[in-house]
Amino acid sequence: MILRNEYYKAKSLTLGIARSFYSMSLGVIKRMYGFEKILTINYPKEMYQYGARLNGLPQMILDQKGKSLCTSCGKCADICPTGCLEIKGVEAKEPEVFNLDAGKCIFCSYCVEICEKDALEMGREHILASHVEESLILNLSELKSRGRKRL
Amino acid sequence: METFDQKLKAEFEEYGFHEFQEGAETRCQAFEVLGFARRLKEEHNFIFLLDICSVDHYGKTDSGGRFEVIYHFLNLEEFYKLRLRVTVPEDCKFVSLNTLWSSASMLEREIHDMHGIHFGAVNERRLLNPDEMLGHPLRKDFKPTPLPRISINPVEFPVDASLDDDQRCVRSWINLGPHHPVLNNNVRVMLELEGEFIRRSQFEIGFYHRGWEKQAESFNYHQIIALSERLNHHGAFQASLAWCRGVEESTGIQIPERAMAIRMVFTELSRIQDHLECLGNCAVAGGNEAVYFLCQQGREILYEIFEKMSGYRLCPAINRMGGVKFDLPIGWITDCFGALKQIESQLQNIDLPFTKSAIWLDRNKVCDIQPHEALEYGITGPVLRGSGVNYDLRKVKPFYFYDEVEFEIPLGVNGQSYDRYLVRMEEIRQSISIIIQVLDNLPTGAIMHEDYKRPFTKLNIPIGGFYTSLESSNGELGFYIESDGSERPWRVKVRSPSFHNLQIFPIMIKDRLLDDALVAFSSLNICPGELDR
Repeated sequence: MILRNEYYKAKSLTLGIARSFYSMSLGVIKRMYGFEKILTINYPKEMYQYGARLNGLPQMILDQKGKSLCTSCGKCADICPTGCLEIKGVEAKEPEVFNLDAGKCIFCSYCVEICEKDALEMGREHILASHVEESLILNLSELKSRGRKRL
Repeated sequence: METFDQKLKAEFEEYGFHEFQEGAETRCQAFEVLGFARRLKEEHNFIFLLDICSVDHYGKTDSGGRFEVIYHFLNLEEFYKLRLRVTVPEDCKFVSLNTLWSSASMLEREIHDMHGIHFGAVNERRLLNPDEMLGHPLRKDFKPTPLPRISINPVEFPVDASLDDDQRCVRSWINLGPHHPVLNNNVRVMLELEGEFIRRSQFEIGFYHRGWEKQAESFNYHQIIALSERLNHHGAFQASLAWCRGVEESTGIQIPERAMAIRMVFTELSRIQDHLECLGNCAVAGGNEAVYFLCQQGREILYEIFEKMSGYRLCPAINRMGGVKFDLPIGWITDCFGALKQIESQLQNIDLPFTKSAIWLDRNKVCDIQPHEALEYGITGPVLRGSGVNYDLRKVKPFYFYDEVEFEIPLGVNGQSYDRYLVRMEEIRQSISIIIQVLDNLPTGAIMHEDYKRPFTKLNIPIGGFYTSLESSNGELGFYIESDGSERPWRVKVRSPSFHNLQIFPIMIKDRLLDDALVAFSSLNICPGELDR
């Protein structure tokens, strides 16, 4: 489809001025009488309402006694594209070290998908700014305290 | 009547052809390359140089030499791709192809930068890496050393012998970028001005170089999906689709129909997203910031749609090998129709101050690209179609349901910034119509291939090279995968449209005003992540 020739001809000056007045007054009337909704939100006071599938920082799932379901297989650390997970421990037992570097994590949810024990899920927390870099590295006890108990 | 394929094979019988995806593959010696390429271009209409890629076979015993240089030539009329592989030992010197295709010189500079293969003295400056770097980073035995302080060279142009001293005195040299509010890219453009007119220019890139290709060698095929979305963040889905299609085609995975439809919908949504970004940048460069905010409103509507589907606003990371991760949520289709309606009304708002407006026409009727120049420099996408060349991979080589939906390819007339603007506007409308057609006839069924339902199943990629490309919003985005049969690729090369599209910029802005250069740059839609990788 070759673009139509009339696109390349300029409008006359009078028509141009008339159209710009029209569009300006239309915009003013729409905003004044509330025909068009306001697009911005009053950010710190109201928050944007995210959908059900929002992905935030991964969180641990705990059993009824508060123990992690993780068996230290290390598959999540292998698939993680950014290498933000560090897991040390004996196979089939709760890990000794489980560090999640929230500064590196891109919330890609690969670790959640590959976990066979369903020990991780995607949380909704995604505003994680901090003044101290070390506070972004979450260890096992911190992750447990953020975790959710399995129903 | 013999076909083009048979004719070509009879002509080059001594080289020995064998088939690959949509063309043929052959080998020749390093000293024959220039003659071979000239015959291809002049006698067989291979007027388009798609890509030049280099592979390091370090540690492999069966290959003839250490390096391999791979050329991809394209015949536009027959849509026939020819891949030429040249094996070279370590200290071999190549003949440059920049006498035949102007786009070759930057590609060869990149190869010299990355692998240290020589192409003659013209192309032996670093392109993406800093000058202070030791060694060539894509070699397999490369050991990184700490970089000294990186310096930025001053602007320098060679002396023009045709000018006398008086003319030379009035010329001044200035820098545009690397941090310029309108360029919004990390590209440094060096200009030689005579008053307000640009007489000569050159550019420097690599400020955003993240070592994408080197990083991809240490990732497995699944992890690169996450990496590929970081190439062009304005249209992130297209890159991950190109990567997934590349791997799926080489492995022979047939994805279910519903997954195809969902992928098509998201590709077109990403295309709208990227075009809106480009139109907004054009508006800022042309001095109309109100329209920039209209475009941003349009993108915000799309972000909400992405977020409802995938949980992310910018990169809808729903592609997995063998299908898509999620099915569409309940009510999403209605939301999507609503969003498309809003974008259509937003397009009318952009149309009103711009199309046929005398100011916008005067501002944008500059910097034309002739079709033969565009083909010479390997330009694709809306920039090529703005010059009037009808080449769109969605029509030429349709995949998924692109041959069943009805859409048209808008073509410009003059190849100016205004044409590129019109083409982008029309492409958004066509994309909307594609999405509506696909969503109206959405197939039912599974969204993942049966064998790949377990996430991140090990893939069996056959040994060899595979090239798959896709019409992204900027042009032809392709991935060349060189596989050695393991779960990580041996080498990945991105054929990024921004890298090719930028090369024509010095030709476009010659003898133009400085302000025109900014308008022309925004209309090319260069994305830094894709450009520098």
